[in-house]
Amino acid sequence: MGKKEDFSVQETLIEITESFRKTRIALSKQRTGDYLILWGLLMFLGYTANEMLWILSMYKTGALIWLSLIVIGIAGTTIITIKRIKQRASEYFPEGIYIGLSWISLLIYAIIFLGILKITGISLQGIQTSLFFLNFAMLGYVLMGIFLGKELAIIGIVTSIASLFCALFLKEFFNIAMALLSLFSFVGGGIYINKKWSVKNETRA
Amino acid sequence: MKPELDEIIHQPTRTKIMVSLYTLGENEEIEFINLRDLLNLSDGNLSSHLAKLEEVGYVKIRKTFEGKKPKTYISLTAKGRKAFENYIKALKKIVETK
Repeated sequence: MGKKEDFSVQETLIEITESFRKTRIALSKQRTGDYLILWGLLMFLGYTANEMLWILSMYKTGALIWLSLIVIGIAGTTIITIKRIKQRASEYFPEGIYIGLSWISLLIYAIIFLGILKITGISLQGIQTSLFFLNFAMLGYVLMGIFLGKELAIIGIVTSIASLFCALFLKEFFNIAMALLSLFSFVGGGIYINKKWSVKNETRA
Repeated sequence: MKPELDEIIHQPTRTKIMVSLYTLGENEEIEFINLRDLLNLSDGNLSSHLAKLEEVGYVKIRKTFEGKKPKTYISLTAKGRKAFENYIKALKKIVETK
């Protein structure tokens, strides 16, 4: 009898730890879609602008537009992150530090790879640059997926495959295809994740 | 004296439900389907355990419509929160006395 009760208490403790971990991960997914929606909209604008500038033969303005969009993206990401931290105490989201470190590592390695290419005399242009940065970002989503669940990893893999498909078979319509891809996979994925992991505040309901 | 475990909470599925709702935080509620997916339970299983927890006043079940879709939200009551904290305290005591 005593042994049975021991086992039951131990089992309960394991259940509690496991349920706590699962719920905490679910909570950390909450509003993760906001990042996807933000970057999806910015990429949609960027690729649409690329297409317009291509038609108007104003190629040089493209870099300035992308730079402005990246600055807006970083500012938006910071605002979303601050909002998330305010909503949830940091103890709910211990994986956050690993996710942050993953993104920083990716950024550093992207710079290293670009440096290696430059040293070897290879410079990326047009579609190649788009693919390079997009797929590095998608690797980030796959890594986030490892911590936060398969939805993010699926978005990363699907977008990578689709981007390669666009580069190989839709070169003529690359900007339009990428604009639509950003809209569907990022914005659509973001809305799906936000809806799936919504937790409501009763007082506001 | 041997600490008493709350019999309503001390059941594997109900313990999991209580942990998840407690982790949400005060005044927060989760949709029925999200809780079902999170805990990997069937609709019927979750419903029956929630009914037991609601009966003793540990959880609140709010049914509403969002557009034309019926939605059910689950939250922990203050009584449920207190009961769960006491349950954890009792578990700790049992472990410490071993």
